[in-house]
Amino acid sequence: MSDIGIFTIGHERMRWLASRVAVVASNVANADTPGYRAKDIPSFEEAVGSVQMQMSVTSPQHLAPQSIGSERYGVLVREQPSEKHSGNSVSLDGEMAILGESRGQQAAVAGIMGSFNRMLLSSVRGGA
Amino acid sequence: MSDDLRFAKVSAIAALSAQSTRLRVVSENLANATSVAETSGGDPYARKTVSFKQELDRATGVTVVRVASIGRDESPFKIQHDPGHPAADANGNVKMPNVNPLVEVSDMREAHRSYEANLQVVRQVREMTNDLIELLRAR
Repeated sequence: MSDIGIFTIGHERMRWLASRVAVVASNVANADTPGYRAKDIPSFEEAVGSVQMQMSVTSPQHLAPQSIGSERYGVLVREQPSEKHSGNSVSLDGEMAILGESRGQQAAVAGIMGSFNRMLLSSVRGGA
Repeated sequence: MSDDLRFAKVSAIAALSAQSTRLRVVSENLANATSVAETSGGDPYARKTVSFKQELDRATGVTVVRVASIGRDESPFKIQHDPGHPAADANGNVKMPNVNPLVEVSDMREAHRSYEANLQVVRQVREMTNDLIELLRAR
């Protein structure tokens, strides 16, 4: 099973989707914060090729590296113009669309992983 | 539960409480739309404003949204001529609060929309977590 790598890539995709949802959640939460720019993470194709090194915390006085999705993939500011007077560039509809998209993709990955899991289990049980 | 999903929930919930504070301020403004001074010539209720900021939540390390400050709207009060009113000054003018119900209601709608969006994030994070747990179920 390991040469297929379905669980590895599925796991990575799940992590990426979770990070994306965290970034979208932060965008939605800051939809009314003055000066906030909408953020995103790199696409899965880019992200899976270049997983970032993480800074280690060697002293209790170190602050944790900036949170929400940044640990693994890095956060980038989305290139979209701000149409509000406050300089905020979040579009609630766009964020909700991404959220729904992530939901569907996550269900698909879970379905694939689930069926491979059942295949594994049925081979363990001897096809019973 | 994945850490990022937990972070998503923490920031959505912080936003829910920020938006409910905003709703509270709007309802205070609407409720006091005609609250005038007790003494003659005194200042009436001044409209309150609310503004948000980002803040690091030390317990989780997530940058969440909080209410930065509840301020006062410094725009001029409306003057109404009503000599019989107990709050009227020597010229018979009463200062009315600088609350515009139309502005307040549209602010309320906006707060409601943001609240709904954040609630949708919480709902979706829960569904995604359920999907993950469902994987563990051997069938």
